[in-house]
Amino acid sequence: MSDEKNQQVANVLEWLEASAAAHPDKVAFADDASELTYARLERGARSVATGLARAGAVREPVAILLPRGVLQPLAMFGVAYSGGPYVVLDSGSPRERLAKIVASMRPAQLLCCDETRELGEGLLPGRCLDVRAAASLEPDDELLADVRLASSPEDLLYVLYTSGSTGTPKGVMVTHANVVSYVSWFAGTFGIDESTVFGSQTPFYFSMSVSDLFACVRQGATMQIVPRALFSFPVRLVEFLNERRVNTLYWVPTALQIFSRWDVLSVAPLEFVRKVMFAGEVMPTPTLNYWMDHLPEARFADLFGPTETTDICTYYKVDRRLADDEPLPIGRPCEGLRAYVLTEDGRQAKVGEEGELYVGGPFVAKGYLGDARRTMQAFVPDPLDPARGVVYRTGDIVRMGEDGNLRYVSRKDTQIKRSGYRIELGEVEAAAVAVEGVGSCAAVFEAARDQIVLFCTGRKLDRDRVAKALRARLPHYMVPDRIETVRAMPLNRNGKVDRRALAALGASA
Amino acid sequence: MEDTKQQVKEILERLVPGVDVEGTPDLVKAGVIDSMVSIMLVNELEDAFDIEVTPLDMVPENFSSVQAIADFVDGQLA
Repeated sequence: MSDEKNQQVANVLEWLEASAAAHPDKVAFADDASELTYARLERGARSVATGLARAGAVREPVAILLPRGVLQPLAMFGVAYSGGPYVVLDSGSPRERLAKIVASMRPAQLLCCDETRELGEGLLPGRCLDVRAAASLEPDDELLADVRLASSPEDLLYVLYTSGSTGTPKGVMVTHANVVSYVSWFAGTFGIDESTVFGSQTPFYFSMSVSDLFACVRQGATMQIVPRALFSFPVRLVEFLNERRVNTLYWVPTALQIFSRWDVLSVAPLEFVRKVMFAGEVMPTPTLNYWMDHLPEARFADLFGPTETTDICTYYKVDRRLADDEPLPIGRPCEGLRAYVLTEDGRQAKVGEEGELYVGGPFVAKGYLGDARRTMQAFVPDPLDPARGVVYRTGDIVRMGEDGNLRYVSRKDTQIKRSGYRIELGEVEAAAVAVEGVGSCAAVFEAARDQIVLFCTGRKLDRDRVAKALRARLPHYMVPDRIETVRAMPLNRNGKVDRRALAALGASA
Repeated sequence: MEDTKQQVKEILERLVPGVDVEGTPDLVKAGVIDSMVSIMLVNELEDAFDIEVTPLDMVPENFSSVQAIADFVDGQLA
């Protein structure tokens, strides 16, 4: 079945239509207040596209500004039916950042609802369409058929803005063909099928959500959109996941760490979860071990990749128990991609040697919207063989292990030089997280003071003991100059550790 | 028990600067207590009052207002 889906689909809407035909009354998306069946999703999305077309938005970019919930996928598929790319905006994001995205994407319309209309009108005056009203229109099937005829697999499905190091967000352009090839790989590799019930944690403006959202629709599965507030109340979160019979999680490690921090699974077991996947940041091995101890029947996988490869480019299916102080591999390249490690002098790295990860193949996005300069810097002709086309320079420093699994070392831009030594901050973190009592940690380099500062959480943590343990594990030049304990790691809107906030914290200390 | 309430108020004000913690009708619904604040808050409460908070205590009702948090703490101390 999956091969057939792989080869024939040119547009993700074909997945929606096949699932709606096969299970019209099955719930596709649900949140705490409402749900959408496949039939209602398809019809509603056609109606939204009809509304957009009447407002003049055919094959035009459209912004989506909606609260977390079922209206978001409805709007996303609605825009896809109108033939244009969508951008999902985070209504909690600073207004200035939203304005920058709107200026870059130049949407023809903005889909909003009562709760977000005011903010939307501020961003795109006079061009805000209420998604609920649009979803109740009679679909213009003839018009939508014409739009589909004019479509191509190389059409953009969405633009996803990631934070650029300069402060200007970069809009990654992703096509139907990218999503079709990537999601087919994802669904096949992790056995996603119609019995899958995802519990979705990641926001829809974050690349990880592409995996569970489109794999769900491709397979005719169900996605339960977990309300953000539940992550403050872990037992309620477990109750939600159990009531909704969630069996598959694809979360950031920080969200999974909430369970180990509180030892939630001892008092509130997860009844149905059998697959746990994670990506977006480094998974501390002790957290993984906690989950493996409490869900012995479940399968676990570490996924790794940037938005520029749609979501993922390497993966590791956890096939054994790792020691707490052994970093988790990021595994091997996804089937169908070519990925290799290049040293600073442009050679292919040997086993054990560090270098930057390059990735080519069908998941690689089309570049950054309206930014030819940054596109050319990151999307380059394959340095090993230019005839093979474009590869993406990930900016991630990795190393191939003797077991054939890649290991993440650090971001290229967190690689620092101190006293002539090249130091990977990720390596400092990997050593620290293995120290007993350390919850999560992040190492920051203060260039002005030439100091490495390690921030860690952990109740009643003894800093001297951590320092002593690190001196035993790390070469002297990598041992942090200062260890700061924090109550909790500052997190960004995606739920990942916010390194800029830490740097500011360190500077003021 | 006014002492507890005052102490809770001070802790919370430190964690979420700029928020009118007593004037907000429901701290959870308003999004003031998110997953990060709740963890920091519980860490602070455990240290300040020498109590042990279990995941079963982590329910919105115990965190909806300064009064609710103070009542919860007093219940643990009793």
